[in-house]
Amino acid sequence: MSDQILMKGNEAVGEAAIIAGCRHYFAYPITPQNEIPAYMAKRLPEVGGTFLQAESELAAINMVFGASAAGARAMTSSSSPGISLKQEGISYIAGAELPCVIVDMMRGGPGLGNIAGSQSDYFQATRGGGNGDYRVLVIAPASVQELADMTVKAFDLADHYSIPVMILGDGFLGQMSEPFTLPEPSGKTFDKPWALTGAKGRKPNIIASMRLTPEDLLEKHNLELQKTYQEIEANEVMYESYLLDDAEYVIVAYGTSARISRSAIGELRKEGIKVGLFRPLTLWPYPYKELKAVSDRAKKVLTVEMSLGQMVEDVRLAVQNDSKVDFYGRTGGMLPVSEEIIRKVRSYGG
Amino acid sequence: MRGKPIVDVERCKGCMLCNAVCPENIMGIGERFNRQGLAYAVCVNEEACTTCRSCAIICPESAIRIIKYVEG
Amino acid sequence: MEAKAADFKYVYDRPKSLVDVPTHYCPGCGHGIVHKILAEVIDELGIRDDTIVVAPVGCSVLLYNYIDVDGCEAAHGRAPAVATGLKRVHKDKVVISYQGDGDLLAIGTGEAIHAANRGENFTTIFMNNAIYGMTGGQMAPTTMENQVTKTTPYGRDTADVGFPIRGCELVNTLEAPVFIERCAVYDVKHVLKTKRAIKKGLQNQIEGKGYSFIEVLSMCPTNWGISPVKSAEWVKEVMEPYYKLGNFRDL
Repeated sequence: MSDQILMKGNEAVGEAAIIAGCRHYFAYPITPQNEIPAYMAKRLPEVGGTFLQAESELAAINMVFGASAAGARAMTSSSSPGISLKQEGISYIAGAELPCVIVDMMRGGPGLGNIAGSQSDYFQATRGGGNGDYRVLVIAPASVQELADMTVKAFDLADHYSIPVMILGDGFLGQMSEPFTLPEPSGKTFDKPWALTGAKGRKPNIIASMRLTPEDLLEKHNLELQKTYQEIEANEVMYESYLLDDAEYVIVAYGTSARISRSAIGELRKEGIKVGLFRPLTLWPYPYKELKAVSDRAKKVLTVEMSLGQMVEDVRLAVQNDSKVDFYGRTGGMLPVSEEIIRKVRSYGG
Repeated sequence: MRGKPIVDVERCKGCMLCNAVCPENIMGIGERFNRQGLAYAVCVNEEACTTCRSCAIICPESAIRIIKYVEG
Repeated sequence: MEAKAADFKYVYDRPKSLVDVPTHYCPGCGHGIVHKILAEVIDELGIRDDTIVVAPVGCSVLLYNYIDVDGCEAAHGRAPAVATGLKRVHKDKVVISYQGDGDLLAIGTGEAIHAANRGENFTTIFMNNAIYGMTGGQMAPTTMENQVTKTTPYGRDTADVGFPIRGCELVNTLEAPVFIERCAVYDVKHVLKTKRAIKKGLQNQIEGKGYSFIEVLSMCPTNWGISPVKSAEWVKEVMEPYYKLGNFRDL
């Protein structure tokens, strides 16, 4: 049993990326994720990799575009405002069907906001801030262990579907240290005949998102992208159920909000209140079907977020019964308070 | 005759840079149009062509090739 | 009289690395000339199998359809960043970042300066035609003073929108670049000089010497609203005095 080590979430992501075979990482400093570039600046040269501090987050995502187009596993990381700068690049990466991993440790917004953890970029992450009908596979870990495990998985998902995959954490998760076990490499390999390697003995490969001429209709290209997205929706949904079997009340929360909800559930269960947690791990593809199955049996569904209500819209789509859906959130870098969750759930009992 | 330019009629867009650089000014704009509806360049005096290749070098469409006659 | 096939030979033919298709470029456009001499250099250096081109957003966005090598497209202004990523992965491949004046000196100034400043071992071909071609003739950072464009209908007013930017001189303030040259393609002599510069730029890369920056003054007859032949003269008479030709650095 490989022994446990203590690391910050940010650093765990860095090490996991290296374990996954990522040898090309481009980033720009922004709190609260600075430990990732610092860690990669030290570690990547040790494994013959490339660390490059770009002149902006925007340049960094385009360096990822280039490295990925060359066939390499490439990653960038940033936080909220930096992720906003990357949206154009992410749209191009999606349009060019390139794999990559983007780490977002969300912070308070909008604008410069602050450097504390937040979840107010849910829409940006899951609905995409760039142009066009594209999707990003978004994974929202809730612990340092999961940050590490999901980073390794993210690279496999990115290569398998040739899409951008986002690890969506927040400042608290990034800064938090927890004992965890380093994940093993998955051992999966993906050949990339489309990569730009120099057209030796073959026709040139072209990687582009523009489809100008009628023959290669942009719509046809989009419909092919949609097929990939439908396949992902069918196969890659991940979520966790906690004490839901007999739950009359369901709390829906991800990441740090889910951790806080769990402690509230502990208290409520002591009072005999049957409440459980539904924790989406993939925010896209969202577990609509699974949440509906749970909410059909429940009297009330409380969404808890570190925002003023974004995932709650997906919860409404899943539950399809607004009278059941309630929301509690704090934003601007504030943490939801366990007592407030407890007070709300208690109130459902009338 | 030393040689001459061979103009790819369909590729030429009639920009006439070839004539501008031709030392002998023997590239003229033709009367007829190609399938793109563009008048194309024609060598109007092949005898005067020195096969210096200027027209081919400047041509933005790579529409001009130069041949040189070889004796015997 | 059509010469008999046997008794002539080609003394000038299309380069092999230039894909044998018509281009979408306007009559007299400088892109076509530079594509051809780039393909000639690729043939002469024998690097067709090892070259990757990065196309910008602009008229030359379809560059990869014309050069018979691996290629990709970069978002507007981001070609130097994409080229950086490509080159960091394939240190042994020849990477060319081909950009226009809006791409390199307007939206992509940040990427351009920093790729050059890092001394990335790739080659930039910077096409300066003093206007935005693809979008129909708007002002570029290199538009000349008083030059009329769709967005300077009364002529570029330097008091309002500043002066044309000189790319080579800007890059020349940086330590890392090993080769900086400004050329033109308005006549045969200058086309051949441009070809030599491009060849040197690619050889620098092959020898791992570092970053090369080649600016090419180019013609855009359609958006300048004058004939191709007059456009060539305009480059010589109006652009060249402001954008001095020649080599700025050759380490």
